[in-house]
Amino acid sequence: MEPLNSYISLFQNISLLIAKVEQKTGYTSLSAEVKNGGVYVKHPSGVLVCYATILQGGALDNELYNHYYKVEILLKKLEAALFSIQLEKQTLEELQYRKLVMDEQKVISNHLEQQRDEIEEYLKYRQQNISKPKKIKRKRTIKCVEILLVTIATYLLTGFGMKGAKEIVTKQQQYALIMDYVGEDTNILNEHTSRINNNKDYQFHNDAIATAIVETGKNPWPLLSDLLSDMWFDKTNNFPSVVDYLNHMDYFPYDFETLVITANARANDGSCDFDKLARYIRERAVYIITDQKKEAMTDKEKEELYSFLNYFHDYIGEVKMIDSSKGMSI
Amino acid sequence: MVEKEIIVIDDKEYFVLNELTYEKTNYVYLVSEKDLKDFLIMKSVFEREEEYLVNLDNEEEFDILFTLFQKELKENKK
Repeated sequence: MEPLNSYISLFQNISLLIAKVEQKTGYTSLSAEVKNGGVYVKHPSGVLVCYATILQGGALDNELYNHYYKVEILLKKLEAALFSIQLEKQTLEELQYRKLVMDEQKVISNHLEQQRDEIEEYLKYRQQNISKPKKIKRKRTIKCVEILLVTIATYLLTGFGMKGAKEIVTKQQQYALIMDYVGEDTNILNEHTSRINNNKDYQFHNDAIATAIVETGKNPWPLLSDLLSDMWFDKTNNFPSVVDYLNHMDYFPYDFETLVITANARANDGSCDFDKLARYIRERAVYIITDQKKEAMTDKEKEELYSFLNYFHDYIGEVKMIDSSKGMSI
Repeated sequence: MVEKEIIVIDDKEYFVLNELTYEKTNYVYLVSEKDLKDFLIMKSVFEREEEYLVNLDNEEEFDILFTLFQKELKENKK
């Protein structure tokens, strides 16, 4: 049993002890509990902040002296522990910072490496271009080559777009979807209809599937494929719009390897979702038939055409304007 | 498929992707059919009314023509 007076003194000093611990640690609202011959100073969360031993017997002054002595030692240890934790925290932050710097350095390094590769590649080609003396006689040999974008034909009147499309499909020997577009001009439409019906040049290869896309519910359009007529044109002669067609593309039973779009489709009245079309043409051979007579186009037509082509830039490597009649660039 | 002019150099086929005139000389941009990264820039010269394609003279000439061709290709894309 501990002397009562020593308890009273002790309790008086405990408040001092708490104040000292609070001062040292920066914690507030600490509490103390006396048990098992010691003082347990705790944080409101219940975490033990420090522990001081109460000496039994002897002069109270000595007890308190010893008590404070031990508390000082404990507090020093606590400080050391806190300092250690702080140090660890700093170290961790420093490590994280270092990692961040290293990551950034890696990104910069990769970028520089890529730039270096590009420069090296450029220098290699430059060297290749000028190193070996070459003198080649130009023979103007023409050959069909496969490049991503072809061309030609804004004018529906001549049916050039569809004729060009037919040529591509025949050469490719592939299933192809051909998209064309007509407006409301009945004369143009009738003439084009007549050409397609009466001129074998406009009849497509058997293996090719072709169709034309017209504005919703407007002019009738000659069917270029009986198969498509069965599938896509209902009994009431309601013709599918570009949008209708695109909406069903994912379910169409044929995998078109080639998509041919005549530049007439540039005259978009909003019925054609070009964004959707652009997604569809990814990974397919795409031919866009555009105008061979660029000089003859009006500014508005050029603007429309460029706007149309811009939709496909992300999906098409090279966009070239080619005079298809000569097979040469213009 | 599209018709393009073909030039055979060191047994490799290049097609004429583009042509331009710079300081009164006609230059051609040739691209290998098999590897689009493999390209050559050559200039056209006439000897006894025959047209020949010859190498560029130096690195500076290549730098200028490469920039001009790239610019033209980008403008054609617009």
